[in-house]
Amino acid sequence: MTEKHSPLDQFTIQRIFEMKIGNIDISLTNSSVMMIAVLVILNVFLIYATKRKSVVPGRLQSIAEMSYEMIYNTTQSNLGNNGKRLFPLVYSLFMFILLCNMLGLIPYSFTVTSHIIVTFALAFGVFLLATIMGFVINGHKYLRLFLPKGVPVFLIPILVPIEIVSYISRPISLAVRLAANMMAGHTIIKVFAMFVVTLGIWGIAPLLFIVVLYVLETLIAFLQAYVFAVLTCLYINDSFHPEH
Amino acid sequence: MSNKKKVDDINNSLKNLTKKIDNIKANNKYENNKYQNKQFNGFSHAFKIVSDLFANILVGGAIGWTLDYYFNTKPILLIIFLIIGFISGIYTSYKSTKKLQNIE
Repeated sequence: MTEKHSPLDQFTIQRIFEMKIGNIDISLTNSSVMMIAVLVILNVFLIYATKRKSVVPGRLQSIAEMSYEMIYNTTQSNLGNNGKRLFPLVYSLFMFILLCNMLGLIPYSFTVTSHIIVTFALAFGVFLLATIMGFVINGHKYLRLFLPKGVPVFLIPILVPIEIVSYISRPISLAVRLAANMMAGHTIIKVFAMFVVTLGIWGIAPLLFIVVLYVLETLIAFLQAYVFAVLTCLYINDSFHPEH
Repeated sequence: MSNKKKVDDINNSLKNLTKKIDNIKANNKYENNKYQNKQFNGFSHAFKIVSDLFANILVGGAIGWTLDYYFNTKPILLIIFLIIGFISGIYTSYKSTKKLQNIE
């Protein structure tokens, strides 16, 4: 018991296989191993689950169909007719984040989405896509997003910077939300796990608490993936209709 | 004679059954969808507001700090943009809440 464990140790990135191209470090880390595992599991699962295509779906097939239907409904209700075009993007984002979150809950595994750079990369991709699509579809009229209709003239110099700050903060808000939720949950679980060891026989109390926390964390893992998908839809919807 | 009656009876009851099943299906689908969407909308809205408040202030502060750094006006722009970030955080939450109210 003498060795020190920080509750944040679980987030350290370890190099498993060192690689370098010039000065750029492209080592295989535990984070990238997790991401590759997620992609492999996702593809194998979806291909295997939809292989039989029975009318009455089995367990695996109904999981695949339920996730598909849920995201399909979300894209339809948020994006309308454009939803079909963006469904593949939203679905892959949702499944990737969901599986990262869920696999991170397994003890000794690594939570990829607890690192803000990973979530920021995903969020910034969405942000770039929305911005570029907005300018491609609407041209310079996309800038109307920063100037809502029916605003008095004297309010314009105040409202435009506010809208610009609010627009730039979108990807950061997306990234921070996901990463902070995952990191906070895992840290709390680890802290309570340390209580279990130090309290001896009374450690049963924090142990029971961890069980409850795990249920909550599973819910959060799912919800965060869903929230990411919904907000992706909302932000992309702005590039179709910037007037609102 | 009795045979025909039997067939009619069966046909009628079949029709009734189909109607009933259709009714139940329609109701179920509608209610399920509505319930699910409402529930998740509330959650995603709550998460959105919390992180929007934080992220807007952060972005406002970052813009202010950067502009200060380039224009050598040390604290003034930082303060102004922090206030703008705070206002825009509340403004964004206000807008998304209004949107949610319109949906419901």
